[in-house]
Amino acid sequence: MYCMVAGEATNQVAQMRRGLLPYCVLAMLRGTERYGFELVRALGSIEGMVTSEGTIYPLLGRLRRQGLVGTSWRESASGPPRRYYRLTSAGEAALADFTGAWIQLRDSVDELLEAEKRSLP
Amino acid sequence: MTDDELVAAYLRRLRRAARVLPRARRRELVDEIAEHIAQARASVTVSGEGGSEVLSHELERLGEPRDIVAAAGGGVRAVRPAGLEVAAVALLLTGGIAGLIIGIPGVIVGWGAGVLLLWVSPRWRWPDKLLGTLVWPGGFAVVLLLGSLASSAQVCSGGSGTATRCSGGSGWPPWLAIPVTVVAVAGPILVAIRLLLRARVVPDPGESATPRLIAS
Repeated sequence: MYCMVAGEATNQVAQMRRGLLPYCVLAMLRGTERYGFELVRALGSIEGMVTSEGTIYPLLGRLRRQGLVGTSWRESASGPPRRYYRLTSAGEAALADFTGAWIQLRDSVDELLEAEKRSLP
Repeated sequence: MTDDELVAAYLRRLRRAARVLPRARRRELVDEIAEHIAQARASVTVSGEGGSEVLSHELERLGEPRDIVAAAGGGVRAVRPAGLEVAAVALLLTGGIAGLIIGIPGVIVGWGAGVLLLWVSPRWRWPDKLLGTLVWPGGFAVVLLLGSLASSAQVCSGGSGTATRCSGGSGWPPWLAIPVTVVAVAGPILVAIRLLLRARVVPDPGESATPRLIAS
């Protein structure tokens, strides 16, 4: 049986964060296109989301290969042409699925944690 | 170090770390990181902030190249070559020697088994498999065979009492024989080393973190 010890929670949370990151990327692209630097900077600015911004690019590549994200090139007024990322319809569906499941899970966990808190003296 | 040099050095480190990735994936990753840096620099130029400090900070935010490559699925699965790969390389080098004793069937069984293992292993991609097959067919056996042919072709004259004198005859002159021998011996050894190094990485382990939901 798996045994959880204090301190391991940090590791667990890191793993959860890694698992959630693809959906956060999809969520940032909902209804809007963003170019690489802008998207990565926005994600990188969220406290505790990513430790090194460069690791988001392999994730974007994966999402593209899975058909959840599409790309297109656009000229830029300032600087080099930019590769824009957008959600595909499959990406929108995956995000919608996740959103429903996440809300349910989040509420259940919150309820458990709240109940735990109330029962403490 | 100028800004350009700083960027070039970073991309060089990234390219080196990304060698474990399949070529298309490596190129895509390096391109995207290079674009990111170009866009970061463009935004700095627009906002009028200056200097290398900003750039170093940007590179720091991107993170260590090996971490980025690890996120792409490279590096995390670096392992020692398994028994199959070691056996393949050993047979490729020495398997053909059986052929010197028992003829062609020996080559087929010995070296051929090495080739079979080489192509069966998932650790090598096809260019390495082709290289292992072509340099040299028969491994060291061919080198030994060529060596014996070259020396037997030398014509030696002279009997007891007089110094034995060997003329080149149709044999290879030293200026040709020596480099040919070096290449013939070094070829299989270098290929063997390359194969063993390549066998340390399982190719294309990437696509595991699929954002598929378990709940439907």
